[in-house]
Amino acid sequence: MKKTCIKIIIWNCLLLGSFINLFSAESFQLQGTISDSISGKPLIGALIIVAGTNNGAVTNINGQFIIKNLAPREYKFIASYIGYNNFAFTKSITKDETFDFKMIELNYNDQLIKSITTRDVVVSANKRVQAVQDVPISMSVMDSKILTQRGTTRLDNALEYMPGIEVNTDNVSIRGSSGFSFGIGSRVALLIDGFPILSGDNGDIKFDAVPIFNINRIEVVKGAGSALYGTGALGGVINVITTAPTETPVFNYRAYTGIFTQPRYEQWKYTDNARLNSGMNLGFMQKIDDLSVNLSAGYYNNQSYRYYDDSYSWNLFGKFAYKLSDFTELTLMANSAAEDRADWVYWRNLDSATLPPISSDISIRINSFKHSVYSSLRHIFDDNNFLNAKAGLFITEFSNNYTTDNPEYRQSLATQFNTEIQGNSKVANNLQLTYGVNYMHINVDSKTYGIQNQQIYSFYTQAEYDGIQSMILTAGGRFDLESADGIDNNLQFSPKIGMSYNLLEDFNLRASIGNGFRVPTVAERYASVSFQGFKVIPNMALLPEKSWSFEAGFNYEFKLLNMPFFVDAALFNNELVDLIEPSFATSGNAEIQFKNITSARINGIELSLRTFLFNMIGLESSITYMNPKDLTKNEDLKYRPNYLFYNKMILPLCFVEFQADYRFKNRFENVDKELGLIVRDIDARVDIHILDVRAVFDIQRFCRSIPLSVTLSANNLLDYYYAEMVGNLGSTRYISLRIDGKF
Amino acid sequence: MLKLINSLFLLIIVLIINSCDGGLAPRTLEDKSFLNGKIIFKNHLPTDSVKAIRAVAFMKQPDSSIINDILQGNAYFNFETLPIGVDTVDFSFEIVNAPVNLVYIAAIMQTDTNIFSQRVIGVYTETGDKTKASTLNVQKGKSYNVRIDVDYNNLPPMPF
Repeated sequence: MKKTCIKIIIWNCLLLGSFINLFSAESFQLQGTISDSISGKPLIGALIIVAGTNNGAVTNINGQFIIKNLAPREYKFIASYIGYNNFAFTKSITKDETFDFKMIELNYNDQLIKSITTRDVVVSANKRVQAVQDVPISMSVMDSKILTQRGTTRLDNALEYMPGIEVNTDNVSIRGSSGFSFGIGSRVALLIDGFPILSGDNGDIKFDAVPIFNINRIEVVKGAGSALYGTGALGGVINVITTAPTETPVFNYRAYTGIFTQPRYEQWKYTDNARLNSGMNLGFMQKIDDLSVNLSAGYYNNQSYRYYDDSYSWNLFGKFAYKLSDFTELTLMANSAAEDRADWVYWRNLDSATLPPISSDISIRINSFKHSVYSSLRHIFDDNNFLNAKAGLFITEFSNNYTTDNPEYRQSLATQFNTEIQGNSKVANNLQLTYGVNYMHINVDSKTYGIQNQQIYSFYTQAEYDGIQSMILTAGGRFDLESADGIDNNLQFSPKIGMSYNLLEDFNLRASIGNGFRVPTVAERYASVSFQGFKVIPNMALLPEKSWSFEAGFNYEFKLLNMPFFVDAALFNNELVDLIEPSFATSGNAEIQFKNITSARINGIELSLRTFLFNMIGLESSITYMNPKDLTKNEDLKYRPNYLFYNKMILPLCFVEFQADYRFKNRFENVDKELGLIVRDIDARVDIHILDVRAVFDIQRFCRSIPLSVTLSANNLLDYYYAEMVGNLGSTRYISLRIDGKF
Repeated sequence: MLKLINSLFLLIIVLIINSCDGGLAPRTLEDKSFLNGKIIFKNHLPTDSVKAIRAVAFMKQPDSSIINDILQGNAYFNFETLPIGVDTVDFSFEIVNAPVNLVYIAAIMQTDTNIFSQRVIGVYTETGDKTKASTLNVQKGKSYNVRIDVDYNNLPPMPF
């Protein structure tokens, strides 16, 4: 394996080198300084980008920037800096140029208005930097500020508040793509900086493997995304973008602690002791000449609101970027996480909803490790062409502490190697090409799944054409060839077309149709395990799941009574075939197999609104209506609600910002009846109403020398009791105090 | 647009007020009904030929297979096996949704690792006829005690 990795990395470098020579051409540079409009002080770490390209620069400690490799023509440049109004200018570059300018600091309310009216810049829709209004598919973005204020400690906590997304225990569902399968076979692809991190054996999302303290933003692409991202992107793609280091050294820290309040009902009180959920993070980042360093560590202890549901975990994260030249950058990222947790699966019954079944052996713990190492070599030939060679490993291991001869013993070690070479070229004046090759190898060594190997070879290309006024057309496709032990090869072709049209200045239309697929995971194909009277048997004949996603939508930004509004709407229809579900192997037999049994259709509408009312109250709201139908059985798809409703309100007063989040999900009607054999009270399900409130005290707003914020939060303030999944009481009221600071 | 905003606020308030009912709640003791019982075994089978012993109470006469009827939500039962190879064993489970008629209360035996391999080995009867099950009317908030005799040499007929 090591030899293979080294060979591929060397091959990547050689290929990149040959492209570098191929694309060399005459170019110029723009340099200058960015400073504050009143004080004249240089702004350190301000971003300046060349609109429509991947080229740009960040100001150094003297506020200076240099953008190199500009072909002779006219460009639009956009400068941005936190707390300042964006500054845009157009300049014709025919020789090396210098341009100094000043930016205007915004007051606090103006910053909130800016956060509503500024269109997000995204990279996940088409694997390159774009304004969100230019992409032909629905996207949602959550930035680090919101993550911090919500006190997010795991990725799933963040995703629960994004439009159209729900988390069912370990399953992430985008617009109803997934039901419930303890996370096995995720229908949503998860990436960190573009590097895929679904586990190699179960194909599930390891939420604690995401370095939450180092997230710059989370981008979610809704609908099938396999045309660019391949297997797993059946329902969508989540791309976690990590933070970039700053010029000056910064030490970040975060510490939080809180308690789950005692439940209202005596039957659910299982201890008189306070149940704590605490953690801390430390981080350091700096850019030293051509080397950028970003390091962090975290430790978390959640005693949980349920008995035998506690966990201890830690993670280490490091990201290093080295500029080999003005146009070439090498990035190395490493992340390790470990968790020791109790093996909570479901409740004893509704009356003992905070206790596990009587037969549970509470001495059993689950230990897991997740390690990822990722490298990227990126070269910008000019503002129209770049190439990115990536390679990485993602290793997951879990086991429980039964003896190895016990039938309940579970263990699996999965190693996933992934390499990709991606290029972007402007091949004609109005035609941009994105293309690449991808190879993934999965090796699993498991007591449950045996020793298995799975390979996927891929090639993709996509063209974007903007030759028609105000319109961007997208068309592309991807070939994936899967080979695995004991099965015939599977060849998949995933096409996609899309269109975005700027009808009016701030009114954009979009439409897209695309294909998604997911190859069966090792767990689904090879699982062989017995538990409590049931026996799971392998199914080598499993076929990949497939989907077709169609959507049409618009976004519109406008002012009414001098208040900013941003509206986004989308109609969507997803056709899913050969969905893999666990089912009884034959009638009258207790052997369970994963099978391609379901065809489904999920259509619906999603509306989002952002505004800042009367320059006083910020409001973000979204509602998703879905009609998820199982076409095979002519009934509702299991574990899918019809309505998702999210709201966020912000009320800034002096140096305190009051925030409230409210989310609603209606009761899903259809579940696996077979679960009733094991899980008590599976019909104990209700509509979900969760109200979270918090007060954020931003000390820095009245004392600039103290970069500190203190947050007092109450999650599930009303202590509303619900089952997010059958047999699982959702989190009860949690009151916490958190400090975030840096020096 | 302002009407839309007003409607949105109204909707949020209505939904939040709706959440004040508290959501899920455990059942109170006064509302709970229980079926308690004792199973008495005679002429034991070898223990390795019995994989599980369970008590089950059907609301409708089972008509296809024991497990299928349970999956249809037609029965109360304990999934965990009762002790095997003993002379007597007690069982107890809650009867939710009382009042309800339990038309067929039985002890069942799982004969191999296949959970569908179930055999009725004894029924609750008030008539003394061990081949015909009696109906028990369960009222809300009350507990009931029943007795089931199992003679492995003289098993009752399957109900379907």
